[in-house]
Formats: sequence, structure tokens, C-alpha cells
Amino acid sequence: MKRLLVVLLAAIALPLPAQTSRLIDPKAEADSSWRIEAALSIHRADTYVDRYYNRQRFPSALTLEEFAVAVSKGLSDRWRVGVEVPFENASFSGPEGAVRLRGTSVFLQAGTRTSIVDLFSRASYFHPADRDDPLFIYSKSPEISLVGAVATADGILPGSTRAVVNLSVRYAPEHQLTKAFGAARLQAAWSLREFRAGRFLMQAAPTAGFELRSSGQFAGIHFANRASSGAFGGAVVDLRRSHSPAESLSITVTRDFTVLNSLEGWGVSLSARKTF
Amino acid sequence: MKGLRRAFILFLLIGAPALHALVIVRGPYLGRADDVSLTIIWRTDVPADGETRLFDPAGNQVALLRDAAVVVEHRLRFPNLTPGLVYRYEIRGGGEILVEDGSAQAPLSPQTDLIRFAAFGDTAGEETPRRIGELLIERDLRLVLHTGDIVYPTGASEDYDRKFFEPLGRWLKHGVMLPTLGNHDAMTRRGEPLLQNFVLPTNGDRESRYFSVREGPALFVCLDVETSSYGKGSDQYRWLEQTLKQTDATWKFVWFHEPPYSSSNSNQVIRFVLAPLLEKYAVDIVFCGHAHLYERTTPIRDFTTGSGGVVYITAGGGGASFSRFVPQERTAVVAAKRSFVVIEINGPLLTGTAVDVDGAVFDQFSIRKNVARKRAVRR
Repeated sequence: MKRLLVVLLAAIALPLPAQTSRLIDPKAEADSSWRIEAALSIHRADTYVDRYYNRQRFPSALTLEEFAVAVSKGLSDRWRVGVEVPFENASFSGPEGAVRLRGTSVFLQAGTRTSIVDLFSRASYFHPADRDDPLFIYSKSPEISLVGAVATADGILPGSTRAVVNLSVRYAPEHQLTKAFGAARLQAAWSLREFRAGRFLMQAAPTAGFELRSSGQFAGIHFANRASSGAFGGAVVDLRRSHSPAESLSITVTRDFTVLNSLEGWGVSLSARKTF
Repeated sequence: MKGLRRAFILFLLIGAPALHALVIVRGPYLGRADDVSLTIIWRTDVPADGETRLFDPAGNQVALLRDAAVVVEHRLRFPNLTPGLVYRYEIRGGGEILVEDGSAQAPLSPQTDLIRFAAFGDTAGEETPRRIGELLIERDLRLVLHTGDIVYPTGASEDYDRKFFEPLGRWLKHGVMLPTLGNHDAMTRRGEPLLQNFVLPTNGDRESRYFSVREGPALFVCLDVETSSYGKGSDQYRWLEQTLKQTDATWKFVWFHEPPYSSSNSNQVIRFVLAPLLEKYAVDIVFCGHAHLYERTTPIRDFTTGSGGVVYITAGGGGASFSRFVPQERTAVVAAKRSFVVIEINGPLLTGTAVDVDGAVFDQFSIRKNVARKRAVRR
């Protein structure tokens, strides 16, 4: 149960960009169960930091909202395959944007346990919807991503604490005017002691990470053809029923800092999953 | 014998240099520090004093400035000029006439209804800038907005003579070029070579990274989107808003390097930050470079085609290798051509003409302002 929690924390502690902020449960159920996961993410930024560290403040905040639903099926006790459909609403300067389909992704994930660590990996292919917008410059390239996570197994660390490290890489090929895009993100979380609140178990984890990108691209919006980077930090809170470990609700809050050629803001994501 | 030897050595030390024919190695070219004066700049191969004389069209000498400093570069500023008058100037150094046939037009009076100027940028290679210079002379165009990236690859000082001053030298002797910083210019000490080489106003930024110029019926505002903050609340943003708000100019033009609307690569941040402000104050045309092509958009308001909006012209055909492009919904014309754009204003009518290096016109449009300041862009 604790291992599951740790890898859940690993999964949900992945903030925007969109695909990697989805709930990822690397530990497939012992039986070939169906699972549905939903996540709502909001990222708000009012500044872009350019390559000379000039802070270009926007006249109003840019808000990127995303709602994603993923349906997956366990193929065995290790493998799971699924489809995720994200919807987005990008808005800026007053008028509300339209909610639209961002694209579709398919994924394959695997998890395993050893006496020291729990491991999982997930490979995804994302195909963007054909979006045209008068304000936003959207990338129209498909994207592949690989996510790997390592979490300490039970008893490795004192108390009920766990350490998690996530590494994700993304790649989108050149498309029309958009150069090929690549990004690598490293994130760590340290889950604190577990607390019981009635029929619920709650656990919090501070998290921090760093991302390198070949260009300034966020949630598929293209900002600059220059190498981009940024650190982020925040916290994850996980809440689940004590008798239903496979069902949970998680909240993640992160803030960007030391960014270069990058948006600077904060993000909140709320995710939930249920198994059938 | 000793006496002869001594005399010979003295001759070598003093007399021989005096016999050296002074050579101008850069310029002359013109600078513009404000709306009422002109600066004439030149550089010689060895240090010497310098003098410039101005003559009116009738041939009368109307001004004389001397720089007694024995230096290689001279900058002489002539104030109190008659607005719009074309002067002939003569440069002397070391007691010799170095240039006799320079000419310079004084800044136009704000009461003037007529003005002509050109815009281009991303100058690369020697052939295209040279050809553009010849066409500018043929058309008697004396004011040019350079949309950035003057010298590739990094805007280094040592590249300016061969890649810019020589190819464009014939025109620079008679016309004023006002450049904005491009991303390549900024690569060397944040654009310091460009800022040192040009005499520009300091009414915006004291280093002239952004500034404005009033010529006749038009306000020209140069912005720096490469090395300065331009976001809301920044000095540049506040200055821009104030400048656009306070002007009584009939026509307003802004230029900076990276286009917010382009069939090649658009700058999303500039679109967020500057586009709404430019629309708010009814800027007529924004000139940009960065994309190596020519493009004219439809009038854009609220991020889409709209009556009375801002027209964005990418004039990046100064010689750099062409950029890939995909025409967008807001694109009126786009072409991969070595080119420049000419703007001619006569009262309420503006005519724009895009000219390639063969002298052929490949785009023409007009903007007319009526009494109610509504605008109709026609092609």
C-alpha cells in the first residue's frame, strides 16, 4: 500500500506541461482491471523571462487550464495500456477562451518492485488536434514522451517516508515552421509521514525539479525558438480511502523560479482515479 | 654630414607624416541625435583634425564646424538647420578636402505634410545591401528604418566596415539610417557596437536602445525587444505609452526586430505585450525584421483582421538567407525577395511599395485617413 502511495506521489507530482501532469499509476492491478483517471490543471503566468533575464510582464495573466481523462486497462500485473484525452482552455486579456480538444495520446506503462526500489516507466504518443487561434501560436507536432520513476521501497527510509525521483523526456519532430523540440525534466519528491483522518489516509510531499527545453514551449504554445529552462517547487497532497488504496485524490501546487526563456508563474492540479 | 643626417631624421619624424594623404576609411555617414540637427561622422586612417562645411542649395556656406582634436573619428553636430532643406557638405582633414559631394536633408518640420522613407533589415552579404543602396539613391530616399540584424553573425565591431559601411557607403553619405537592435546585433556585448557606431536620440533610453523621432507628419518609435525589458511596468513600456499618447503626429510608425505576426516565426510574447498597446494608440504600421522575407499583414485588431487595426510589415529582405514561411490567415502578401519597402505620405494618404533588388515593384498598398481618423487599407 505504501509503495503504491509512493509511486502515486511520483505520478501526481508531475506538474505541467500537460501530459506529464496526468495521474500515472505504474503499478498495474493484480487483475486486469479497468481504470479511469481525471485531472484538472491550471497554470497561470504573468511574466516571460527572456534570454537576458529581462522579465517581460504581460498586461494581464495568461491562464492555461487543462482537463484530461484517461482510460486504461491492465494487461497483466505489470503492464497497462490506455488512452488519454486532454481538453484545454487558454485565455488571456479578458475574453474567455474556448474549451477545445488538445489532442489524444496513447500510452503503455510498466511497473515492478524490488526489495530496495519501486520502478515504473511510461511511454506515450500524443497527437495534437488541429488548433488555430488568432492569439496563441500552437505547435502542431506530435510528441512522444518517456517517463521513468524510482521510489524507495518500504522500510528503506525511516518512518513512513518515501523518496521519489522522476525523469521524463519529450520529443516532437520538426513540423512546418516549428523546429524539432526536446525537453528533459528531473523531479524529486519526499513524502512525509502518513496521517489518518477518519476513513482517509493523507500524505504530503514537498517536491522540486528542473526542466531543460530546446525552445520555449508550454502546453503546446510556442513562445521562442531559444533554449529554455526553469526550476519549480511546491507540494503534493494525496488523500485516499484506507480501504480502497487504488482510489485517490491528489492536489499538487507548484511555483516556477529561476527560469530562462520561459514563462514564470504557478500551477495547481487536481487528479483523481477510480478502478473498476 | 651629421647635420644632413639629423635633418633627414627630423624629416622622417615630422615631415613625412605631414605628406601622408589622409584617407577616409569609414563614412562619411549621418547621425540624428534629435529632431532639429544632423551629425556628420567619418573616420580616417590616421589621427587628424576635422572640419565640415555646410552649403545651402544656392552654394552659400551656411555653417562651419571644426574639431581640433587629432583623432581618427569625428562627429560634428549641426543644429539650427532649415527644416527639410538639403545641404551639401564638405569634409576637410589635415588641411585637405576629403569629401566635396556629401549631402544631407535637415529634419522635416512637423507642419510638413509630405514625407518619404524606406525600411529594410537583416542585411547580409555585400551584394544585396549595395544594390539596395543604389536603389535608395535612385529614388532619392534619405531616411531608412533598419529593422535589425545589421551585421552577421554577431554584430561584431570588426565586421561593420566590410559588411555594412562599405556596401551601403554611397547611400549613407546622403541618408540617415535609424537602426533597431536585432538578435544578432545583440550577441556582441548586448549590441554595444551598433550603439557606438550610430548617433541616435537619447529621448527614450540614454543608450539609444529605444527612442523616437518626429519627421514631418510622422512619429517614428524605435523599440528594443532584444536587450531591454518591454513588458508592462518596464521603463520602455511606460515610455512607449507616454510617447504615443502625447504625440500630435498624424501618422505613427513603430519598428522593432521580431514580428508578433509573421508567416515565419512569430513572437508570442510581443504579441501579448506590445500588440494591444500599439492598437490602443492607433499605430499605423509596425515594421519588423527577423524573418528573412517581405510580408504585409491585413490590419490587425484584437489579434484578428479588423478595420482600423495595425498593419505589420516584415521587411527582412536585406540579404540574409530566406526564412521558411506558411501564409497565415492575416497575411495579405508574403514573398521571399531581397527587398525593401518604401512609404510615401502626402497628407491623409499613405502609399506603400515593396521593391525588389531588380527595382521591380511586387506589392503596393495605401492607407487613407479621413477627418474622423478612420482608416481604409487598400491594395
